[in-house]
Amino acid sequence: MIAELGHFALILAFVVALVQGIVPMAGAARGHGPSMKLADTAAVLQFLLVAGAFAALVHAYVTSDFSLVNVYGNSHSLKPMLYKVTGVWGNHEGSLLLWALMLTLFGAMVALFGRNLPDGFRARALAVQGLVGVGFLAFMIFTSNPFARIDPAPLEGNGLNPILQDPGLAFHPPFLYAGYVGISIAFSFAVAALIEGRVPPSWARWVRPWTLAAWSALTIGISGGSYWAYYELGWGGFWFWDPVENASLMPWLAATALLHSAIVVEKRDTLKSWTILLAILAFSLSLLGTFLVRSGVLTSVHAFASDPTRGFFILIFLLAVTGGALTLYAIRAPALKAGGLFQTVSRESSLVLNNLLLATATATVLLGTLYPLILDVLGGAKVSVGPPYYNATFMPIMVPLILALGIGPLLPWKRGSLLTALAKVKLVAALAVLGGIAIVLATTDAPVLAVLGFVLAFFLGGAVLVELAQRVQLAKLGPMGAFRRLVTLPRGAMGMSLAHFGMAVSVIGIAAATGFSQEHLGVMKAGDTVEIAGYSLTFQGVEDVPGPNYTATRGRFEVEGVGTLSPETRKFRAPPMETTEAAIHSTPIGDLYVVVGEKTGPGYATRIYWKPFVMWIWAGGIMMAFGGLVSLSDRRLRVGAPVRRAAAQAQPAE
Amino acid sequence: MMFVAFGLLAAVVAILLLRPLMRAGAGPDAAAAERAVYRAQLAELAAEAANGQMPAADAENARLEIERRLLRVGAGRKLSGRPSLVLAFAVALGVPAAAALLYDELGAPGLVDRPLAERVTAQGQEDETRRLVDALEARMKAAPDDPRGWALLARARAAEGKLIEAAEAYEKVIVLIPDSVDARLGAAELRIAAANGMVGPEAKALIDQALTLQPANAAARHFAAYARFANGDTAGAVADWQAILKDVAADDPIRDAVTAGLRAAGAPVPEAAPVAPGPTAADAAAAQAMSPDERQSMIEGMVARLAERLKEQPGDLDGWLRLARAYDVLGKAPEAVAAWEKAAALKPDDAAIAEGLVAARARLPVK
Repeated sequence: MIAELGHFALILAFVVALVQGIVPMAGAARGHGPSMKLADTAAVLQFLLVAGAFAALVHAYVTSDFSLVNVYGNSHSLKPMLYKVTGVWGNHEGSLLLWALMLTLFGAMVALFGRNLPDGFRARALAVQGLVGVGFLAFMIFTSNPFARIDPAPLEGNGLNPILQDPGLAFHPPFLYAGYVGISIAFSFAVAALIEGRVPPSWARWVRPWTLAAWSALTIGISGGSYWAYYELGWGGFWFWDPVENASLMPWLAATALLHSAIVVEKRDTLKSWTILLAILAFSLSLLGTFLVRSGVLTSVHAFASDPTRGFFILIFLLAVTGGALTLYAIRAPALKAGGLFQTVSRESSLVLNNLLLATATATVLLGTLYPLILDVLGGAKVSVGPPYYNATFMPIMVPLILALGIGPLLPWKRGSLLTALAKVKLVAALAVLGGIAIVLATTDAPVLAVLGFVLAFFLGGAVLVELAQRVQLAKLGPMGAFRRLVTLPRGAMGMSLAHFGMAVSVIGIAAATGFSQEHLGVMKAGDTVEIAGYSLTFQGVEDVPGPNYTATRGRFEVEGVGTLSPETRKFRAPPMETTEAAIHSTPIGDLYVVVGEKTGPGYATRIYWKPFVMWIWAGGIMMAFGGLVSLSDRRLRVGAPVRRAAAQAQPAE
Repeated sequence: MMFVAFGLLAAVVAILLLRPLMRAGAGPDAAAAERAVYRAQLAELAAEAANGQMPAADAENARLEIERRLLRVGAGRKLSGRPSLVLAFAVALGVPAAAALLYDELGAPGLVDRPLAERVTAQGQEDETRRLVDALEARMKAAPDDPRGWALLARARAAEGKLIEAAEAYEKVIVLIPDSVDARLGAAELRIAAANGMVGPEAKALIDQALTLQPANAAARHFAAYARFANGDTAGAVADWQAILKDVAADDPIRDAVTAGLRAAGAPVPEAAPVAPGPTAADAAAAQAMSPDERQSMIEGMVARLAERLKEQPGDLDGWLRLARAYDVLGKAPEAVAAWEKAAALKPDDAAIAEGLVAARARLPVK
């Protein structure tokens, strides 16, 4: 009964989404108030209905109701409770339901908290949001129904892919989806503005926070996914340029660009047309990611289903959303009024440069992701585009981007001087180059790219500190006065510094872990000792340990000064599969990463890595996301007026 | 019950959707909303400037900028606030109707939840069997041309003790497959059992027909012999039975029934070494010398060894089939169902396995 009620609620949500997509849109066109008001009610109702359906599916998983095809296919009665719950979205249908839940949640929040948006605009934005919901709910109901039943019900399920039986599944997809879906709000706002033919003043006030929230969630989702891959896949890699990862990186790059151009819209009331285009592209890239992952075009741990009908449906949906929105843009964009003017060297222009570089980077990744697929479809050779391509294309774009990232915030709005800005960072630049030289001298065979990464990261980190020091008037007020100013600094500025600094931290982690890691691969017998990066590891053999739904072969490594590291190889029964659980000793300056594998001759195959500064990659990611949230909490007014030469700066109020 | 809940849900949705459509009153026009945003910005700015959170010069610049934007706001379009009855009506009726139509197409109306915890209790298993049989009954009503379904239903009804109904199900098979000997004998056996061992005219006719169709069929000959025995012709029955024993192979399952008949008639039973596929000759010899308890535990030991081995080699279809049949024989219905399910998973479209699975499910313990 609960399962069927969930199914009925999902269908009702689909019908309500249709109403939400049609009635308010027509109402806004005819100037009919009650029809427009319907959007708010429908958006909240649609969320409640989808939430009900989601709860019903969770209930079925928790009670192991194998009369649902979805539960039968992806759960098992012996699975620990955590994975029964997370297993809800560890499969194709359930993950779509989570997508729909997030989508409707965001729609409901616009309806509830968007009172300061003009009625007509809100009605149109919610209608667009409703139509996106129609697409997703239809996809679910007609091709991937999570509530399909089997009667009679089997007594046992097939189990969840063991790689997904990990706490990572609890946070990675929800954050990622919150990110993708948050961008849909920017998309709906953009399309609503295009339909309306003008951008209301509160537009940027809305688009920027939503984009910020989405971007922060996406950053956490991607960092989390990367960390998960690092500890689960057993060889210490953290980014593989895998098409599925690229599918999440592209919306992130586009959202980063959108975030920055939205600042210009908000502060200076200009760049509106470009920002709208970015919003459309960012959401289209989210959908493209969904298409790539869910259509079976790619095979990976993310591709739960490979079914041509589903792929076809998403492709049509993608074309309708992207094509429709871009056509609308082509027709309406010229009508959008341009706002304030700015000079070639100014904060605005540095943000435009940032946008150009990020857009190029996105295009690069898009090309690298799609080229092998297109070649494959055309009957060409099977090619795989991997790190060499991205090192040659993506990395060169990152160099000017990071340089601009350091200098841009030092430029004032509307008009500035590049020389003044450069003068402020020349000391930092010199120190960064010296740091690079020091690294080359201190190590042997330092890879060029890694050293360049360090230099850039030092420069960026230093420039962020210089900007912060300037903002709190460190030179003028002394440490105490500057600290007082730091505390009262606008949160937007704090968020920016945090996020930019986080970027520097990540770059250090990436450069160190890719350029300077050490490894020892080989067969070890009990009693053997390996020296790596100053650690001495003694292998003490393996033992078999039973788990809740697997048996583990657990190796024991005695590490001098650290204790015991116990990596495992787990053999699962349903489905029969093996996973490796690396033992990781994390320190701020690097990770000791140990894996034990098959019995080989007299000993066991082992892999031991030293990954210097690898945690910094994700620490930087968390800093960026946190910066986004800090900035989000800034409710200050956002009107950027050009700063005049103010001889008498305001003294701190005391 | 379920449809009441559906109705309530749809009604609540419809009523909530009606509310905004039925309420009169237009909101402020777009231009007024925009001016309100700018006024709020000015108020916030003034508050911040007063608190000293913003340098006075910046605040002044920002104020000028906002006022410039405020001046640019033109006149907005007037909104109509009249409630639209037609629209309200269409939405309130259309939404539940469309949902009901879609659900009718896609849903499984009336199908209850099957949480595992409920199903592993005795009551749950009884319900399970009941539901399976009900589902089969319903299916046969809808598709009465499927002889395999009727045969299954016959066995399920027989397991429930509905002997006459079971016999009638077999008779449906006879209608569909006129030369089926097995269905005739099945029906005859059930009718005899229902009459406490008496062979009535219907049963007699069925046995005669079977014998006419296949005069050499051992089972048919056995039933004919039994009919003689039940009607008092003990000598004739014994002669027939002894003739059957000479003709059938040493491992023919009919042998047990025939020897039971001979014993009932008080006639001597000729020795024949049982040949089973599983145990070795030595095992069987040892089994002969055992007490019934010991024999039982030996069989169970062998089954346990087989089960253990299958854990290591879950892909061994023959092994699963042997284990399933062994559990069937031992009367361990839940284990048998599990083993049949494994076999069915390995070879999903095998009719014999599917039949074995259904039969084993039908034998799940019934209080």
